[in-house]
Amino acid sequence: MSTRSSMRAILLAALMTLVGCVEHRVGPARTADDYDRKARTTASAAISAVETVRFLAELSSAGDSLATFTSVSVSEQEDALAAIRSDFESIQPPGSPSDEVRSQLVGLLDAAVEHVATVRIAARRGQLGELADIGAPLAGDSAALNSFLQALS
Amino acid sequence: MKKVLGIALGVLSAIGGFVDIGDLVANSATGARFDLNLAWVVPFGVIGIIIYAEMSGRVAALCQRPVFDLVRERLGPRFGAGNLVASFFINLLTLTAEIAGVAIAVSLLTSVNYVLLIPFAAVLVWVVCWRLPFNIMEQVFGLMGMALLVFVVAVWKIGPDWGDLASKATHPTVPNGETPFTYAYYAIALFGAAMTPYEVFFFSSGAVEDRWSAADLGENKANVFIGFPLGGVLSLAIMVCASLVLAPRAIDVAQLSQVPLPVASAVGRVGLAFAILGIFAATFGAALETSLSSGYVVAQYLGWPWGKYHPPTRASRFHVVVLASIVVAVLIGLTGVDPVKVTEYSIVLSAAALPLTYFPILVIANDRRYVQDHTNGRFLNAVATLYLIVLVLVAVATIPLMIITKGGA
Amino acid sequence: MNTNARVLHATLDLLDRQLRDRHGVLCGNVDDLEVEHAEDGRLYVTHIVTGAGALAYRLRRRRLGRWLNRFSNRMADAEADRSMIPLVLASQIGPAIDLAVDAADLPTHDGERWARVHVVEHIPLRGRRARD
Repeated sequence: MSTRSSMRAILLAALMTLVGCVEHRVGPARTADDYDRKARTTASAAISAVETVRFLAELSSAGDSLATFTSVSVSEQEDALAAIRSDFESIQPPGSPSDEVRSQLVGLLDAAVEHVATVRIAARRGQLGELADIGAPLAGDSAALNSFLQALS
Repeated sequence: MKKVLGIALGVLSAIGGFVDIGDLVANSATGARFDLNLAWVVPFGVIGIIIYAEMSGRVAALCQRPVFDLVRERLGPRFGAGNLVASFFINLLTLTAEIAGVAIAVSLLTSVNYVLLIPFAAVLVWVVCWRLPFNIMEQVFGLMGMALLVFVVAVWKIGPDWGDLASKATHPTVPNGETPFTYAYYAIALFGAAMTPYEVFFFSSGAVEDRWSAADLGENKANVFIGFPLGGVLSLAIMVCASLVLAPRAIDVAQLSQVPLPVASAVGRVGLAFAILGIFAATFGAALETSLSSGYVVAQYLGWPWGKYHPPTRASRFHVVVLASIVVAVLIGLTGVDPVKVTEYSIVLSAAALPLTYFPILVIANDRRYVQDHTNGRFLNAVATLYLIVLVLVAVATIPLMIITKGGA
Repeated sequence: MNTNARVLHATLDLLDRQLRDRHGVLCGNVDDLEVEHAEDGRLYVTHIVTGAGALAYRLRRRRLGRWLNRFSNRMADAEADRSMIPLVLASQIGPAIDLAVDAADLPTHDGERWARVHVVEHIPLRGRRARD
């Protein structure tokens, strides 16, 4: 294996890695099926974030978490959710049936982001004992996203 | 008595030092997504690293020469150069991930944004590297890493159905919603997390730093045969926690802060504190090892004086490379790259690059000119060759799988 | 015939070996060997060649190699090519090769000196050990 070809292989791997680390989670969608698939990926990722925040809120109210851990983690999930939403919104829907999918999912994501933000604000204000109550709407968000996911499969 | 204490310390450091951010992310993410269907990869990887580390340690102790030094001598400068570039790059990625991990652990306890903490974490890593003697460095962070035992405590407290767990672990399948490709990709990631190359550069250079000789071969074996499997148990505990607590909630691990959630739920705030401390120690220790490794590989290939046992003025280029690697890792981290993504790429590429460093060691461990009478036995050679074949297959499959699965999506 | 075989074997056992100076300091590798045809048609190793330039030359980056060599010699204001070490100066030929010279005289140590003077000595907290 000559140095030149091995160098090229390494440069290629390096480039791919850096691209992989900075690229968007989702790329463009060309067909309705493609779009549905991306919608499903988005919904799954959103459920994960919402459930994490629900979990954090429960742990916080039960006294099983640390104040800083709760507020930092909830903020992280909020940022992640916002990124998931903006990634999905930036994808061009390929045709009118996909517009329906889009408006549904975006609506669900908006609600989720709003409710997670409420939890974050409360956590940062130190209202750690009440987080489970404040985070109650998240159960509804999660269920709605789940139904969306089932309907799309 | 002192000898026993020394061995015990070495074993404990090996256990605590086994886990790094790659293991934390890989085991947790896999447990959350694949349940225990990939549990078999952990013991498979542990056996691999045992073979790998034992051979490197033996070679280093018997001829006072670490891996990279010998790679060039035995396999030529061209192979050595390609190896150097690949290893250095992957090492740098790993270092970036580990420093980010340190910053995240600190941010979880201080509420400061982790990106702001990256330079702080890097300075801390570098100061310890610069000032703390080698063996104290290993022992302190190795022992602190034992805080991760809280994951084992968490599993015990959850009190799962052990029979059920055992049967799931021994009957792996590709779960619903996953493809054989994502299954294989995550298997490679787990494997790369267990068999990290920097571990071996560090281990073999460390044997020379600690001035091991033939008399220390027994201690080498103890560290490796007792410490690493117990480290593997730790990894499995992280995976089981994720499968018991995160998977039922449909939580995927995309942030490091999700990893200790099962501990918080099972053991409470004290457990959570231990988990975060353990994460800090594991990533900090690994950051020390990877930054020194970047110096080791360059200095050893080019024949420069190297090692922490030299005063810095006697091994200046070595220390400059270590410093430069930390600086570059910080710069990459400050661009805001997702640390979990960087971790995933670093472990997957580590797995792909394993044959480059594993093969020379296998050759040298059989060469009487280097190890005298302590060559590999027939059984060891059979198993080690089997692993070499697996490593080559993994290396060939990695990049295609990365493309097919779009980086494990 | 016998001597030839020994020389070739010595080449394999000399190239890429670690070099140590007379104080045991690591000072580079055997990056290349200078051989000469004697009148009896045999090949003899006359010099050990060491330095980044020599390595680059051997890795087929010939122009880079020659340039690096010239650069390092010019930086040290050397008349002769410092990367060439006569084989007579090699005392012990084994796992490492001991040379009867000081590391400071070799081109590989220029980088070491630069790193020490321009970086390491500016870094605080070097501690007692480092002050020697």
